[in-house]
Amino acid sequence: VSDFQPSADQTMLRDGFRDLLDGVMTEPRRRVALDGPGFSHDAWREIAAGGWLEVAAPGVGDDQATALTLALLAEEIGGHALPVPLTLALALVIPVLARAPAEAIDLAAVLTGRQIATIALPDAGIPADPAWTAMSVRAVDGSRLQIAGRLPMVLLGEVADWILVPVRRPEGGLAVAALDTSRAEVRRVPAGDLDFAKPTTEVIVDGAWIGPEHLLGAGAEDLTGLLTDWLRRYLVCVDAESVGGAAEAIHRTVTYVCERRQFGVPVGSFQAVKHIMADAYGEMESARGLARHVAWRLDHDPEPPDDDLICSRLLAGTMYPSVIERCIQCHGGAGFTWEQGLHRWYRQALFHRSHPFSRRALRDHLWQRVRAGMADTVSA
Amino acid sequence: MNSALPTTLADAIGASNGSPPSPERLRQWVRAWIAVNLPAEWRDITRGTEEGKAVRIRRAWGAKLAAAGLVAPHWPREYGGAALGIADHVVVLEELVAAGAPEALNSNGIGIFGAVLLRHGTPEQRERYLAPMLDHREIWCQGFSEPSAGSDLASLRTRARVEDDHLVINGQKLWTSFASQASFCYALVRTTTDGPKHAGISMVVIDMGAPGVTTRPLRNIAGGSEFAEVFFDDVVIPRDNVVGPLDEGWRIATEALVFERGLSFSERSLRLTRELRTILALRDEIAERSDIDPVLDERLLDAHIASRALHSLVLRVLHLIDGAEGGTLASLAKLQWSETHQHMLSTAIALLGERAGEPAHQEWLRSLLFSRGETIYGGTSEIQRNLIAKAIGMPGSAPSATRGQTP
Repeated sequence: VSDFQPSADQTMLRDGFRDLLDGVMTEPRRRVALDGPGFSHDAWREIAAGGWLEVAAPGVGDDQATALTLALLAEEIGGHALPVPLTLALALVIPVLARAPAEAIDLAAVLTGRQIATIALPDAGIPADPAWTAMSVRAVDGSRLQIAGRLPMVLLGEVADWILVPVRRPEGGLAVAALDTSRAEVRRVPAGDLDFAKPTTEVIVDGAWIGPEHLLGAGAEDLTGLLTDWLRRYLVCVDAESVGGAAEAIHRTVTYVCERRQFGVPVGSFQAVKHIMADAYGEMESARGLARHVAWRLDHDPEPPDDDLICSRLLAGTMYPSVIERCIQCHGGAGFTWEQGLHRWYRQALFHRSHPFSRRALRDHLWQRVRAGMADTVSA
Repeated sequence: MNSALPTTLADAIGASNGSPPSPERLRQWVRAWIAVNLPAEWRDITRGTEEGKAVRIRRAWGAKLAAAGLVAPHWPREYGGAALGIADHVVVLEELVAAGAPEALNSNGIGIFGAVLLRHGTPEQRERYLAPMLDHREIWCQGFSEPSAGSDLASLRTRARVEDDHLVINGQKLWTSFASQASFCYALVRTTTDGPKHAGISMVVIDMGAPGVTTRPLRNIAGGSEFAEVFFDDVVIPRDNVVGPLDEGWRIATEALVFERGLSFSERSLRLTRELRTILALRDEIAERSDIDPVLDERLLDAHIASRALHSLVLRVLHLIDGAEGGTLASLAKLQWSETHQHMLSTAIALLGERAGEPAHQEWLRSLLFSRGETIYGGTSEIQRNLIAKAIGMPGSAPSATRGQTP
């Protein structure tokens, strides 16, 4: 039996993180975070100052964060309505950057929050075979590459100093270019703010030359494996962040229906309301169990559990909006207002539903696996 | 390998110097033992299997499992178990389910009443009842539900009057599975009438052959009659048949149920996964002759996803078995298992369409019909939702909602 219950150490780390986030999310900051999209540099630096970006960087922080640890932290991120897309940094950007540094990027500056790095996520494919290269190599000159193209949706794109951009290497495989966003060839256009914590930016690159000092690991190795490996962790952390958001919304709703009285009793005492919340809780716990289990298996199984990773993405993607819709309903008229802040979770839930892959592609792939009898049935 | 195959779990453990073998070795041994001992015609009998046949097979299989020490492998050695930990027990369950093995007929009695005896029984009671229960010489039925005590079980009215060294029982039980085959019934009866309804209930053993016991088979929705109504008219049982302290039956029973649910849901979740694979094969077979409604394919895929989530949930229940959190997750597991199972079987019948009535497909139809009970027995879905709601901090019931409902 896989014992994916968090260990005492993991629980302690998670609790420390929770305390920090409780402190970071002051009431005025919470108000701002619920009021609209945006990025709080102050919040980002406070989290970094607490050493929480280093957690994800091996050899820099004390702890080699496992996927299960990251998932537990992501649950907290989801629960705190942070005005920063922290999950992306912890589960993907920093682990990749720490393992394949680029000469031009001062890693310490990133870990302390003085500089911000993000990554161009694949928006098509499946976890085991993501479409990494939206950007094309226009020309090659010795060890320099000229890249061009359009990244339709970059998280943190507006504030990032660096965008990690996977490109096809002339000799095959993937290189990752660290694109300096202040360059003249880079144009940034706000692309959407469905999730207040993750406003997206369209990034257009018009022929930027990238030298080896701007390539992760100096471009010496194919980074496909490294990127895809950490993308898996990011995906399960998106699920965990969804679980954390859903759990917080459930907590707020339970509190609300205990206080709100109609017919002389708390509205939560009516069975119709109880059952709605029991179902919401059930959906959330179900997604939590699968996400944690998948995270644990990423740490322990010899082969990545890609089929269950897809199950988890699909389940959490359905669960999150469904839970928030129930929470809105149970708030009655108050759920329909801006006051309770549920809109913020709802928007995030809608964003997470198909982030970053299309659900159709994931379902089609999983269906092929299930039909062929290949998908996990019993995990050893 | 077969020539050297240990015939019991105890021997298999003995062969590895007394401590349980590694999970891989244990798995290999269980697999090899099943290959030798489980006849092909006993494999994959569904809930829809014709009843007399199912009872026969499940009883004989229970006896075989017991002889090998596999029917309650987590029990202490002196009572026929091998003191396996949860993880090893799950390995055994995985192999049994993977081979399509049926459930032992006494699994309910062993899981609930056996656990009660281990914890609260006197040495004499354990001596008398445990071994024949495990090896299926004696079949047990459960006397909990009554005509007016379903979801509100604690309002049960079957009365046991204590007189000197015996009790006199009067009342009626309902939904009693295998009552006709059973030698004994473990029952909850009311021994005190004043005071709160959860107090004053005792757990007793009733000899089903005693004068005054009448069973009347009840036909279930699938047309079978594995369960019955049982009437007690001045049935006399010795005082020694009370298990645990008098008037403490409610606490004892609920304690046992928590642990039982972890293991039984683990087995059910494994069985559901296996059944889903059979339905996928049925789907492919149908697809050779006719178009499949794409909506049904989507439902099968959702069933796969649900089965994976259930698997993870059940593992959490097993690990948290003693914690309060485990109790809530067990309610969730019950809900999600029963509802997923029903959706799955209803998809199978939808795939078959009007051919579901053909003799070759009777078992699917009976399985679906039988599954309708799964959201009802063992605590209805609504009761599970009430329990979950309470656990997450929802307020007590509004006065208008409490009438006729468990507080």
